[in-house]
Amino acid sequence: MTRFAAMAARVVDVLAIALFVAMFACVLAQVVFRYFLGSPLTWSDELARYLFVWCAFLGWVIAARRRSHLAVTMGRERLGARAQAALKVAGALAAVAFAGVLVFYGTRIAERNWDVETTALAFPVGVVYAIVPLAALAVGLYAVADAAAAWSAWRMGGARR
Amino acid sequence: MITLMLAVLGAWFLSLFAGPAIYVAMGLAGFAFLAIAGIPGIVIPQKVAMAANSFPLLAAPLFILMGNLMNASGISYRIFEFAKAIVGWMRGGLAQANIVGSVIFAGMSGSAVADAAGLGTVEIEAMKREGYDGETAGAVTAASATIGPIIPPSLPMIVYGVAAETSIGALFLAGVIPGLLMAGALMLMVRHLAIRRNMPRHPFEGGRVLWLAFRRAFWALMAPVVLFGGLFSGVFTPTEAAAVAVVYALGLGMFVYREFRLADLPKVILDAVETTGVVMALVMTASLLGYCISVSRLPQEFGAWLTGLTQNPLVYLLIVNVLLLVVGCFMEALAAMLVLIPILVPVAVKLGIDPVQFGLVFVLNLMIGTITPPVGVVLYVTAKVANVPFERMAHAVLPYLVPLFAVLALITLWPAVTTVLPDLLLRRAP
Repeated sequence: MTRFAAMAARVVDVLAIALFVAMFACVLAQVVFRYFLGSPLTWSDELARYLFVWCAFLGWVIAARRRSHLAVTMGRERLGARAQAALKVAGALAAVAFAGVLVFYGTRIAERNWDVETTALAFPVGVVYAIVPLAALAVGLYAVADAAAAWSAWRMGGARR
Repeated sequence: MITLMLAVLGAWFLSLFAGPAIYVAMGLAGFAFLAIAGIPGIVIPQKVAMAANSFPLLAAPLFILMGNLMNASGISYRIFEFAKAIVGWMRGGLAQANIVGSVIFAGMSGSAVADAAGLGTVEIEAMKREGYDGETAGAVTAASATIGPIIPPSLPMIVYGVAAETSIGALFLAGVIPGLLMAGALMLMVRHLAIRRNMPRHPFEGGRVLWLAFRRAFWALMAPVVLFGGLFSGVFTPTEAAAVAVVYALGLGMFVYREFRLADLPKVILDAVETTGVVMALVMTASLLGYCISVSRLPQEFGAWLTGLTQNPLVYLLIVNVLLLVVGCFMEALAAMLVLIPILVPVAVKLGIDPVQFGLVFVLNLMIGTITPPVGVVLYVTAKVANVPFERMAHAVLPYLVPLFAVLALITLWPAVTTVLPDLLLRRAP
C-alpha cells in the first residue's frame, strides 16, 4: 500500500514536471515564432492554457500530499490537543466532501464534453476536464488518510502527530 | 437569493477559524449555495477548471518558477551584499539594507512570501549576527516584503488583472512609484527607530567595495531591466515576458554565477508546481464562489445601496480602504481579493474611479493585511525564520505599519501617483 502510494506520487511528480516544461516551452515558442521568425503559431496559446489547467490540478494534488494548502490554524492552535484533533478530523472530512463533489460532477462534465472539439487543436474538451475527477480522487484519498490520522490522534487523547 | 448568499458567506467566514484548507471551505460554500438555490452542480467543475484556462494567468506559474530559480542561484545573497554596500553606513545599516534589498528583489519576484522566505532568511541571519534582536530583524523583513507585490512583477496584480478585467501591464507600471515610496517611507521610519534604539552602524567601506559589490550583483540587477524592457516596450505580454525572464534566470544561475546545476532543475520545477497548486486551488474555488456571488445579484444590490449612500468616489475609496483593512486582518489575501472583486469593482467603475488606481489600493490594502494579526501569512513566515513567537512579532511590526499607511493614504487621495506611469508609457486613453 505504501509502495503503491510512493509509486503513484512519483508518477504525479514526473507528469507535473513534464507538463510544466511543455507549458513553458509553448509560451517560449510563441515568443520566438511571433517576434523572431515573424510567423505566429496558431495553437501555442490554446495548448499552453490547457496544459496550465492540468498543471494547476497536479499542483493541487502535490500540495495536498505535502499538506501545504493554506489554512488559518491560529484560532485552532489556542485550543486543547483533543479539540485540535477533532477539528482536524472535521477539516479533513470537509476536504473529502469537496473532493467527492468534484469527482461526481467532474466525471459528468468530462463525459459530456468528450465529443466536443477544442478550437485550434481539435482534441476532445473532455480530455481537459478529465483531470478534475482524477485530481479530486487523489486529493480525496490524501484527505481520507489525513482524517484517519487525526482520528487516531483524537482517540489517543490528542497526542501531537 | 441575496439572503442565502450572505448566509453562505457568513458560514464560510466563520468556518475558516476551525482551520480547514481555505480552498475547501470556499468550494463547499459554493456547492452549498448552488445546491440550495437549485442550480445544477455541473457548473462546479466548469467554473473551477476554466478559471485556469487563461493565458494572462499563466504568467503566475512562470513568475513563481523565476523566483525559485533566482533563490536557488544564490542571487538573494548577492543582492543583499550590494544593498549593504549602498546603505550599510547609515545608523541601523542592515535594517536599511534589508529594505533596499527588498526593492531590488521585488523587481524579480512577485510574492511577499517568496521575499520573506528567500531573501528574508539571508537578511534575518545577517542582522541577528550583528546584534539586532529577532523581533526587529523579522519586523523590518516582513514590512519590506510587502513591497514585493507592489513593484512588478506581482502575483496579486496578475490575479487582480484577470479577475477585474484590467490591463496587467498597466497595473504593473502603476506599482512602480508607490513601491519606491513605500521603501522611502519605511527607510525614514527605520532611521527614526535606529537613532532612538541606538542600532549598530558601519563606516562607509569606500567606492571600491561598492563597485565590486555592484559588479558581482550586476547580472542579477539586470533581470528587472530585461523584464520591464520587454514588457513596457509593448513587445511582450506579461506572460511572454515571464517566460523570457525564466530563460534569463536559468542562464544566469547556470552560466554566469554557476551555482545552479541542471540536476537541481526538477526539484525547483516541482516546487513551482506545488506553489502554483496552492495559489490556483484558491483562485479556482474563489472563481466558483465569485460566480455564485454574481448569480445571487449581491453586487447589484450592494452597489445600489452604496451609491444611495454616497456618490463621491473619494468617500467610496475610504469605505473600501476600511473594509479591506479589516477583511485583510482576518482573511488570506488572494481569497479575500477574489471574493470581493465582483462586489467592489463594479461600483468603483460606476463612480468613475480609475480601475488601475483601484487595483493598487486593493492590492496594497491586502498586502498590509499579510503583516497584521491574526491572519498574516508573511508575518507568520518571518516569525518562523526569525524564531520569534508570532505574538511578539505582531507587536514588533506595528511601527512599520505607519509608513505603509501613509503611502496607502497617498495613493487613495492622489490618483496621479499610480496612473501617471501607465498613462505616459502605455498612452492609455484617459
